[in-house]
Amino acid sequence: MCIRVIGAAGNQRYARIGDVIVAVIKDALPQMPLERSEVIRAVIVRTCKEFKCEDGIIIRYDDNAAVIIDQKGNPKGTRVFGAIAEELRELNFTKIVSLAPETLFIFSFI
Amino acid sequence: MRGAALQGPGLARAPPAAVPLHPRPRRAGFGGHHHHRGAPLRSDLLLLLQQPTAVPLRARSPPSSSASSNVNPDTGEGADELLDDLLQEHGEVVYSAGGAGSLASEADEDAECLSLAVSLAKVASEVKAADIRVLFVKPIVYWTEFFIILTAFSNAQIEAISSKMRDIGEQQFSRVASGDTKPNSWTLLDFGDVVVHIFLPPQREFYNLEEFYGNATTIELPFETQLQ
Repeated sequence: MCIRVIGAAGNQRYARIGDVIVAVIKDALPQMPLERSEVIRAVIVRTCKEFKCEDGIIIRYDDNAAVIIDQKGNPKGTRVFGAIAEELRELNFTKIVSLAPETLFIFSFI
Repeated sequence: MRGAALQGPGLARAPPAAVPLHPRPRRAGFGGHHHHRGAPLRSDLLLLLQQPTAVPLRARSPPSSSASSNVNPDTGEGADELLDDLLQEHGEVVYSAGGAGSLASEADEDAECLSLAVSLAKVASEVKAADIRVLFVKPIVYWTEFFIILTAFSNAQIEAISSKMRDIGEQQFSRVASGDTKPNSWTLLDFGDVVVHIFLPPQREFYNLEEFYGNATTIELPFETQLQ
């Protein structure tokens, strides 16, 4: 669950794709390195709310997803699942993009 | 249902008659924009493409992009080979949007990226980085062409490697790197077509990028033998 959006203006209520958030773990699988009620940082990679690129393209996923990172910005896990948008590369999250099995090339198939 | 039913769902399997085929030039990678010249030519292409492939093609909704999306990517190389054969037998290029020029310029860009990658790797070996690998990931990943993965042993070494790489990129190839400015256990330098990953030894084993990109071809570096 999100507690705070890092670097957000005072009147920004919600986090978007590419924002770093402070979150608390509400539910965890057993025998994992992270447990319930741990406070972590994460990067939002997918949102159900549509994300508007600067050139007018709108992208919307079917789920909300984030990748847990540490204080320095390195992902805590070794792999990520699902599609990742190319915008993260411009926001200096190329590490997550390089771990992604599938990246979305937004400027095609139109 | 048959893919891209331009003429409605009644387009069933048609015999491969001596239909004069006017194929489009093959799509060059992603984002190819295709000109469409009216329905009859597209249907010819469809007829000839649909018949031999026994695997059903999935229907794609926007008909305007159907000419390029007829080949279902899931069917893979089998459909491609059949299409290639057919095009060689019956093919005739009607309109080519400068296709030959783009191939040559692509090769030039590839050569430039390769030289950038090799010179960055050379710089890294001068600073005594360990286990330098250059992977050609262009067929796997579209957003970059080369990965350079190397191991450094201290923050000072990482700092030295990254500053030298940035200098080389700016002076020789006029490319500015984005990425990590401060050394990190996984430091990343992004030169656009070449992405450099600098790991500390435990992180390299933890993330294991070589396994993830195991399908990429490794580029042999000429100076590696000199180190050993």
